[in-house]
Amino acid sequence: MSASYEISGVVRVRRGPAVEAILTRLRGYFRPGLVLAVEVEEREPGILTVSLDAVGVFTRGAGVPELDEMVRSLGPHAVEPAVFLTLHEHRPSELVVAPSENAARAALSRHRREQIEPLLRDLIPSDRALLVAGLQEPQDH
Amino acid sequence: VLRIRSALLEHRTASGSRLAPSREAGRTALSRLRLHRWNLTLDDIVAEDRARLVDALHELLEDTT
Repeated sequence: MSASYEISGVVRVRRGPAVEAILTRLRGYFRPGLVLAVEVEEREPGILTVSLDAVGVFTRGAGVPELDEMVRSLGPHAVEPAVFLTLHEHRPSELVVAPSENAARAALSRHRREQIEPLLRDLIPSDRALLVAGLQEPQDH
Repeated sequence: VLRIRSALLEHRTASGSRLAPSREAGRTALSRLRLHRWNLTLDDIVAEDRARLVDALHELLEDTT
């Protein structure tokens, strides 16, 4: 049985030896069944814009956690948080690249809001009221 | 062709697809789908973004009253 995997996103990072090392690993990453494109541009001095797109099919369960980890390891060097979109076995998810846990949480929250906000009109009035109630429930954290 | 289309519509509706027998039923089904999906992600949303969404929802609720 095979499973599909996709990831795409863009992050701006500060140039430095650690970032160069991560990019070298990313560019050289190979796994049978994976097509990976990494583009790096220096649009402003010292700041690299890293665009990454990958798609692949693997044996179910094998996954590509190391690729996710490499992308995530750019976080401490990110100029601002970035949200990468992933598909693991057709299930959409997000991988947040951010310098801190708080920044990651804020970025994911903003991403969710931006997903929901333009589609609110799709809700019928009773569901709008239910969503308001859900949003106003106390949070655990 | 119409018979096939009608049968397909009934089949799809019964199986939970977004095809629906009426515009109103389709709107309700889409609304439920959106709400179900968003409810799964509400824990990711911090207070500030929750407040913005609630404001936007209140504006929509006022528009419809």
